[in-house]
Amino acid sequence: MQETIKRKPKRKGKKIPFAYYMMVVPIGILFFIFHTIPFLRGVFYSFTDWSGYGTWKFVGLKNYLYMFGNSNITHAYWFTFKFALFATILVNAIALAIAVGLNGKIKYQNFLKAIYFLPYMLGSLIVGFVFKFIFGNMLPSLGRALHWGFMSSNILGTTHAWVGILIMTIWQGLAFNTLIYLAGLQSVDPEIYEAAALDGVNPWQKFMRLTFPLIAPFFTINLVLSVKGYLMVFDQIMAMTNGGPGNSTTSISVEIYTQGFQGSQFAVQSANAVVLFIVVLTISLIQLRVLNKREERLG
Amino acid sequence: MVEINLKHIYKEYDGNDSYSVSDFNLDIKDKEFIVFVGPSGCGKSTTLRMIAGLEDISKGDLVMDGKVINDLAPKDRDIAMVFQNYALYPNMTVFDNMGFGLSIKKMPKDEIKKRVDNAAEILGLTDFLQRKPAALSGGQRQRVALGRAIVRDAKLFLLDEPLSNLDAKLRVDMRTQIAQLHQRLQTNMIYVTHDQVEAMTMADRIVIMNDGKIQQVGTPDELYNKPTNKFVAGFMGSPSMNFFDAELKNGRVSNGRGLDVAVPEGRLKVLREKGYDGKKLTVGIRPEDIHTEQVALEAMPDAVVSAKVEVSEFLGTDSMLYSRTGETEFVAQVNARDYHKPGEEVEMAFEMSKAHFFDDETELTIE
Amino acid sequence: MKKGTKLLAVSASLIALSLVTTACGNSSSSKKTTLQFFSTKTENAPTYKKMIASFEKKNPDIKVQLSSPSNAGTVLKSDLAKNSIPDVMAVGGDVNYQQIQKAGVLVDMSKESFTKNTMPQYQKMITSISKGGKLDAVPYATNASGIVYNKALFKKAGITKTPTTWDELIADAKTLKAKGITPFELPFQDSWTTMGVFNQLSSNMVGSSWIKERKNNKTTFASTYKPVMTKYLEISKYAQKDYMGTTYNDGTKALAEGKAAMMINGNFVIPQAKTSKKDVDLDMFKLPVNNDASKNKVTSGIDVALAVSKNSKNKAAAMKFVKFMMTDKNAKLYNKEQFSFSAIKGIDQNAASLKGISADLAKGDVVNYPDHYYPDGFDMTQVLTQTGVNQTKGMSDATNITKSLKKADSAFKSANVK
Repeated sequence: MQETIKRKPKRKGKKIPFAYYMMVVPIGILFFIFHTIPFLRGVFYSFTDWSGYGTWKFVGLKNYLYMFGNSNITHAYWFTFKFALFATILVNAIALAIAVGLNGKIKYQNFLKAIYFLPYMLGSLIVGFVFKFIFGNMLPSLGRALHWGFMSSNILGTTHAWVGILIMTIWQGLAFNTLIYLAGLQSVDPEIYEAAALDGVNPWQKFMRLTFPLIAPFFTINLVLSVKGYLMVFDQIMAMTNGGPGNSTTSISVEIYTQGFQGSQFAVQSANAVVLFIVVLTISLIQLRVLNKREERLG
Repeated sequence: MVEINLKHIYKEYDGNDSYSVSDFNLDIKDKEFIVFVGPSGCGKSTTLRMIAGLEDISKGDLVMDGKVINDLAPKDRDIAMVFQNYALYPNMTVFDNMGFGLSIKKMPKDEIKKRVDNAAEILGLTDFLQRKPAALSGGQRQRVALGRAIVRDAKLFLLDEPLSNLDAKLRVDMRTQIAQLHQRLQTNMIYVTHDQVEAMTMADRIVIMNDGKIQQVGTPDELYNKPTNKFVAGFMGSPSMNFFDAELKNGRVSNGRGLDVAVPEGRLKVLREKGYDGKKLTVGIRPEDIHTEQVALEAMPDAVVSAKVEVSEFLGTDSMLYSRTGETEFVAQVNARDYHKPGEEVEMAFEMSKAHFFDDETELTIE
Repeated sequence: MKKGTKLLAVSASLIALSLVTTACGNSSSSKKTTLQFFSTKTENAPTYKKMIASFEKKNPDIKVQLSSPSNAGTVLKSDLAKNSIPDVMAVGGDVNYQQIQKAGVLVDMSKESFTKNTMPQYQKMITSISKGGKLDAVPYATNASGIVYNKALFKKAGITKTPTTWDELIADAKTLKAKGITPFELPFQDSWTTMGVFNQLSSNMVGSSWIKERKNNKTTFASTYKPVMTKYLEISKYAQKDYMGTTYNDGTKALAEGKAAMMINGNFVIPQAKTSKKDVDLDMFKLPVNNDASKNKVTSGIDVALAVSKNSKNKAAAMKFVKFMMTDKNAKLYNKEQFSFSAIKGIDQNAASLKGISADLAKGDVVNYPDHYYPDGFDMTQVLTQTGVNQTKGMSDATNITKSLKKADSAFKSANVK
């Protein structure tokens, strides 16, 4: 038997076109300068005691240890997790329900789809201010007129302020998630539902045993993006309560901002930011693993 | 004993100003294998779906065992359906696909297993029960779809062009399988196809449709040899029947463009009785009724035509001769031994006793 | 490959060209001096613009560029970090001034001619928060805190003279309430307004040396501030129902529209309220914190102090501009437009809406805002908003005060680093 040395086949002139590099490299450089470098610097600062200006020195892990003892920071983590949990569950459940509704043979389907997507196109800061007005003026006026005690005052000034922020977040978050679920629903072959109709499924069974498993990839996308986004909630809190009353609605991002810049706890909050990054990254990776396994299982 | 009656069924879709199916009447006897056949858009699938309950019936009654079931939900109609694209549940194994309907009906697990295993054995799917549809070939998926229908033990099987997505050889294999299945299960089957070969080979009776209306109902033999109109005559048989617009004069039909043959006595009498003497009509003759052998030429001298072969197709046992006489083109199907080259001038005898005559306007068969 | 290099060459030259043109653009005005004037307040920008216009007319070779961003503190900090301090700065006598002064980048103003005309009480406010006790900014405009009240409503309730003791204040509140008028409008949804009340109570009840002791951990909020919190809570009992949910804008609107009689904050409330109703009859009086009227002072601080950068390339021009702003004419203009008080001796505030309090300020009977001395990162408003929420939820005063002061102490401890 002749032994032939396997030679790597030389691809004549099959180099990657220069144009491809031209499209990718400039953006890559910009990304590196404006994103990666500041990020690395932030990590660096987290090991110092720099206050944003003036002199500094290395303090090792002091900032990280300080974080665990600081009640404001631990409270911010507790609040953020609670918020992200509620927001993710509610937004996804409601969005799925809306998507199922929009997918059926209803009148004015396209018009309704456009309406439901509008909130996504508004900046979350703007929506926050609008809801601040609604909670502060419109709802209390209505509540007073109807003599509904619970609605006569601004919810953002009570211990339930977080519910107000949650409502606004859900209102705006529904748009994108509904769109994704709708895309998923439309990717299912309608003949399958006909076969299921012959098999005699009721609407609940149809949803649980067919629809939901078949939109698994879309569920994954929505869940991962939801959790990540809500763990980093910032805009609407700044617009509506600034983290108050007290610090009852201070999320991790709000804490980083107010204490890091206004409060001059620059180095400590850099550490906080690094921890937040690690938390979000870890949770996202775990989610992806679990959900991808589920996708495989469901074919 | 199941009797199914479709009485004056009409289907109109919203926004359309004409009926997709009009005045569909059919009585289906117990254990019959009925085939709905026709070109695309003729309404055959729509009718099937109305029987299944997947489409509403606009007018008319669907009666099963004496009961009107127009408004009965699909799951309560005791029917099973095989879809053209199989409609298998992608997220379930073959076993679960077949057993899904039964588990919905809360059948005990061991009973489900018995039925599914049984159906799998019939269809040769026992080794694939734990696979998902994505891991199956087209033919295997088709069998799973059949299996899903079998386990339901339904009174009526509906099959909507189940073989259209398979390659030619597989189609032939599956045809026999389905026919055998019918024998074995002894239930009614309504089969929709656009392929008249499938219709001919599988049906007890054929319902041929065009433009939403039934053209003719009958056995394959009846449809082939006694078509009631030009459409049926042209649809059944491959290659299709040759048609000529001609005039009946002096006991002959001619079209002034090369065709001029005599009409046999018996046929002539009927045509004259119906008043077609001196009138225009359409003549139809099947390719296999045009002969080139000496014997035929001698037997029918006054129906011989001299034609030039333009294309000659060799098919094994037969040859197709695409010929032209004068300005008239036609196809003749002759024994392959009778070889003729393109360009050859050949004498062909038209077996006019087997010819069909159709009214020019109504396109109905003159009989 | 050829196409690629061509594209690269074109884009590179385009980038280079744009860089060159921007560089050229900057140095075009070589003859003219441009001063960067940074202000930490936004509401007085129109007044500054007027002064700049007349200054530029008198000095055609000097141009002044005003910048008054809304997040001034952050911008100033980043300027420090970049080492690009503006030539002239208008800052409050607060933490913003402190940070820049600490970095040692400001010119000593103590020997300037215009400084001699400013009131010593206000000079002291600057030196007391400066490293080394230096006067690195000259006090310009001051504010006064007190009670802004709707004169028409007081008349309607039959209150003929403004209260000078705490008991009188509470009695008046009761009278107003009986007549169906909200005594105090507290807009605590905007948390900074809580300090409007707290600062005044604290400055009149707790001595000014307390903060130093607290920073050295020699005392606590819990041991000292109970009486302050008691009075704080008493005020909130005479406020509108949803005071934790009312914004500053809505609160001042309510005051202007005659829905509430009093607002406890600074003189800047007046121009704000007048935007809702131009002709509303408002006036101010000193908050009578103690029953001993002689002990009550006006809480006043430096709203604007002017500073010049040591590293400015146009120091002479900068000083010239500061001197221009310090002239009587401009000081009077600022007072008038901003309903403000001047730190310059002899510049009166004659607005009718400030009659009730102008005399005290002219006398110099003032005390500084306690929160100007708080460490960076200590947010008292967070404590006070929680107090408000507790109170609306029905928590007993005793529990509420204990909890709040405990929180204040722990928050102070965390912020009191270094």
